[in-house]
Amino acid sequence: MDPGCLNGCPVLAYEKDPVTGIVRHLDDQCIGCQYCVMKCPYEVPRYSARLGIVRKCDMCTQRLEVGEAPACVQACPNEAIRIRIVDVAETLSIFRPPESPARNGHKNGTSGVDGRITFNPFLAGSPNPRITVPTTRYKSAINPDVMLVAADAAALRAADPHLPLALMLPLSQLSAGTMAITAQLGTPAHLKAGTTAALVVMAVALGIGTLHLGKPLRAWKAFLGWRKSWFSREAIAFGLYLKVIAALTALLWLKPDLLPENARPTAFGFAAFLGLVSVFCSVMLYVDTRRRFWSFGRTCGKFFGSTIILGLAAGTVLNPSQGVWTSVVIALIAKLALEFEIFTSLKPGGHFELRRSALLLTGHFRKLSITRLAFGVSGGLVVPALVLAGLLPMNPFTGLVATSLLMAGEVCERVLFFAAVAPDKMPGGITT
Amino acid sequence: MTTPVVIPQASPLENAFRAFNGAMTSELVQSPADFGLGHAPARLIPDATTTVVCGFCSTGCGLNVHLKDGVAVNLTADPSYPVNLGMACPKGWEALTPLDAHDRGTTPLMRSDSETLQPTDWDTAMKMFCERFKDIQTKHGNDSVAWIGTGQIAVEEFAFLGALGKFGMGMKHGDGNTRQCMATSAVAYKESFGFDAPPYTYADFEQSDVLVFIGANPCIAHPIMWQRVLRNPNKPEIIVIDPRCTETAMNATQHLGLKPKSDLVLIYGLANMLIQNGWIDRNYIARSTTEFDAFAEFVRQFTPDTVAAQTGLTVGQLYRCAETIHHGKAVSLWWTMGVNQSHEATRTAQAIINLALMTGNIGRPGTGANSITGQCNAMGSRLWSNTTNLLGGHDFKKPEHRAKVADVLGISEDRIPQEASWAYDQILAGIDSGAIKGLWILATNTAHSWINQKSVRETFAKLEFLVVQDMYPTTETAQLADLYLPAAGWGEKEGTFINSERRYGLLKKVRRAPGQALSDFSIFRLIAHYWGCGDMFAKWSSPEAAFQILKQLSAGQPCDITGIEDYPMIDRCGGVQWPWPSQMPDAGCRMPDAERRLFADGRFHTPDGRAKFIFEQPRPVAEPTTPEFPIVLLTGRGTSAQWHTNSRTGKSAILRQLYPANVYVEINHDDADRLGIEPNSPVEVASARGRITATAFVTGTVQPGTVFMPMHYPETNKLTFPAFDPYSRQPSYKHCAVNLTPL
Repeated sequence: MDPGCLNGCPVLAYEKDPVTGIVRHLDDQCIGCQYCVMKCPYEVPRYSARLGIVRKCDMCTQRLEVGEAPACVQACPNEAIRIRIVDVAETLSIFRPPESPARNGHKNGTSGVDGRITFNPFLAGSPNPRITVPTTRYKSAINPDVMLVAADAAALRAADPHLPLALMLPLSQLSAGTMAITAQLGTPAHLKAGTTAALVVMAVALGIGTLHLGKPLRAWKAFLGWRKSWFSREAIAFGLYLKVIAALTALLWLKPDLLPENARPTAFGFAAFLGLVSVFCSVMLYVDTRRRFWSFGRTCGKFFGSTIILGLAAGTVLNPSQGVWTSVVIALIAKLALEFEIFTSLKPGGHFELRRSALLLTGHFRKLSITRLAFGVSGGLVVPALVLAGLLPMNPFTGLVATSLLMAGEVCERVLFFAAVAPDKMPGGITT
Repeated sequence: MTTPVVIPQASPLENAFRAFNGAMTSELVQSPADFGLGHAPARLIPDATTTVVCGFCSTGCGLNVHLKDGVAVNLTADPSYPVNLGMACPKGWEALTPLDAHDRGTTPLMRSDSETLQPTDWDTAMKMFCERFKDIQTKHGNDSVAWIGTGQIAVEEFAFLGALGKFGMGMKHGDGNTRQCMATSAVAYKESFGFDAPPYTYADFEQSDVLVFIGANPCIAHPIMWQRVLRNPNKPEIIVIDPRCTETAMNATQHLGLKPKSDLVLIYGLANMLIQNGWIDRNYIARSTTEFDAFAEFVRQFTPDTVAAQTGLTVGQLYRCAETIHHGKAVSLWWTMGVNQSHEATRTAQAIINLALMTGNIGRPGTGANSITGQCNAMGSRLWSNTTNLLGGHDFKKPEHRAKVADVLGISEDRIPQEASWAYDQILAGIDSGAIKGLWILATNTAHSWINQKSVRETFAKLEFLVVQDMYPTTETAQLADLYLPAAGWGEKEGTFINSERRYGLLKKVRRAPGQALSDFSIFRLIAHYWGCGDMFAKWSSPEAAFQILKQLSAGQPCDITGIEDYPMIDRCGGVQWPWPSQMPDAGCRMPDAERRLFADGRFHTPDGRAKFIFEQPRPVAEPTTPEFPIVLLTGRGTSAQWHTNSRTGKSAILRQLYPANVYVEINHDDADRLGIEPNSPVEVASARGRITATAFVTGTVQPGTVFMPMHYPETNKLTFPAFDPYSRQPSYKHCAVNLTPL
């Protein structure tokens, strides 16, 4: 009843029929961003590589309209599927009962902690129904108190690494971090170099980000869903931020006189603020999918952590100092500590969903996890230590080396962010 | 307050930016498709439809194939076909897809000196086929060339194959993969009833008030038959006898989860319990059976306590089951591969038949001792493959039968061998011993499916010439061939199939075979011509012409079909069950009833007209567990989306989504805990014959001390033990000893 796909779509490519409640997809509106795929806990929208868009089941609306059985109803040899109009109030009262509002997490939801399955009023072993209030009813003669576990409960599936996004996000955060430290530094030379760098990096970030879209030529519509979609909000913030730093860069290079000295802190401070708003929108985009590995704390820590580390790294290029090099070390250690928190889920009692991510990180993605650590440590500990010990020159070139290493580490971290997410899903068959 | 859910509607301004139509949207716009099909996308709108019987399992569903310019573009289940009543399983819905596979054989392939198979033309292939086989026959005698056929081709095709192989090419030994699925039922019925005659019709699923499934899992193996069970209005008792808690067992009212291979003891025990309690039909026994007294005396040894101890069940479970059978007004007993693939399969099937006979549950609606067949045309193979039986259920040993067949076919009587062929395992043993040097395999995948697969590959290496005729040159077996002949598949040729309930269904050509692939029927015509015996088969000009010959051969047999006029009549009637003789008592009415069963009059096909109680002392399994191999491996069907060695079902992306991609082994929680095996982790399964790696699926559906592996994966039969039922020569796939090691 509260469809994740529709709520997340940045281009309003979903329509909910006011009478039947059927959610339909507008194929020619879709930009192929696949955010609905992330938003839907039930894997209903599927990306079509052939078309570059997402498609989803519309319950054979065209057949239903003329009183014909949908394809699934017709195909099921056991006549197990029936489609009818549901009671809205009743459905809401089951999945979002009055005593615990929707935001209040997973308490009554889904697979619980290790060794214990909490009762799921929707279907044993399925995602938390509070998220979207699904209207499907699974009726069975099997006693609902019987503990049922999905056949693939122990299976680990690597998710799509979304490489364009895994590059775009750290780059945009490098830009925002650079802009923030530039605004802090404030001298004309720093402003010119820093803002220009932030602009170039952001432009590259968005260029790469576009590669993620199946239909990039329709991307201009991405603002349409601003009222509900964090994807739209991110797109608007990114666009605004890019335009502001582009304008500032143009002014600095072409007509610096038009930007009076006393207006500069405000102007560049605003640009830096827009950069941070962009990062926040990115954070919320993933938090809104309600995946535990992408929780507010973890995603904030990663995205703002990248912003701080990469911003400080930019500082070592723009204005190297003992202080900024030391800050890099502290920021990196803090961020690695945050990232390592996931491995506490491996202990008995860890939540299934997080445990799966941790197992993927230590198993399937072991090499990439080690690579991530190696890049981080070399760029954020080894190089700074050598600089601080006087073994490496404290100059912009050394800063650039550290920044590159740190950037590589953040990209690895972001690939893992996408590939190791393992949300609860509908129970599946034996997975080999 | 319940949290309200608010879906904001787009504003008019926003709507201006939204593309409600366009190329991608119109791809899925549906319009009325006529033919009662409802709405469909434009690319799938047919200009005609026709019913074709499905080519996977023996259920024999009618599929309504949608044609566009004479070519099949789609299909739906046929609601008017009496078998499936508008339902189809995943395989049926996807029946057209394997025809489009990229690895279809499009030309004959031959192995010259090179390691790989090279394309060639039919003329070269046919000359090679005849020269090599004739050369072997000249050197080693006619019997040194044999064939292994299938239950997957049309009746007319394996009748042609059997006639060509034995009467034309002078071979003595030919058998089919039906040996792996149905040989037991055929032998059991033949001995008990006097003819291989499964008595039932699918309506019995709906008319019973007690259904007993023994070693049968129709939910997965025969989903449409299970659908018929679900239509049963009598709230039936469903008893499932199976060592696994299968999908069917989960839907049963009683599940007797017995120890593997204790089924014969259990059924004898039930028989004893029924007799001791007087829960038998003495009138029926006296009127329609023989040997009951000896049987009753024999089963006295199977006391409730000994049976409980040997089966692992409780006396209470046994009693409740016997009592349920006693109280049932119409009890039907159904068995499949759990019984047939056993070291004492024939006697187990006959023990089931005995239960039906002694309780009078036969010949009435909702009753019967009913073997559910495996392949789409296994039943056809039983009557028409000319291997164990002379064409049409005749006997090679009987001179009058040989004379009749020779007369109908217009051939000399001395061309007909006076004894039956070797069975599948005996042919393979013949290769090992050097008696057989040339082999022709059709539409089966021996190198994957044969029990103890490794030995088969070693055996084939001893052949001088191996021909494989199949849709795909990529099967494990075709890859070993010296000559590969590309065959048309289901839907690319004509003929008939006989389903489990004895129904002739029609196969039609709704697609063109790819490249130079030919129907098996056409290949046989070609071979007859090149072999030099074309004249002998001049009358076999088309499948329908062959069908007319088969009708004549069936005359006077229990499987008489002389009343079926032609193919259009089969089509009109929604299939026709045998028998349908031209002198049917109710002749005049040319349309047979849609559902007919046998033995309503209590008369059987034995010389004295009585069914016979047949029994024998149970024997221990061939490979008991040992400390080294302490676990019993059971094999069987995995999902309803897989068919046998997956050579066809593996070609459908849709079906592939419905089953695990790689081999897995089902292990009980207790064993997994004891052995330190984590769910979904790799585990080594070893038997005395081989070791393989599989994914562990930890589950409560298998008993401690047993594991289950689906037969569809090539690894499974590296482990199985080659034991055979002595009467049916059917391999015992359901029991061998293995060990598990976590990796």
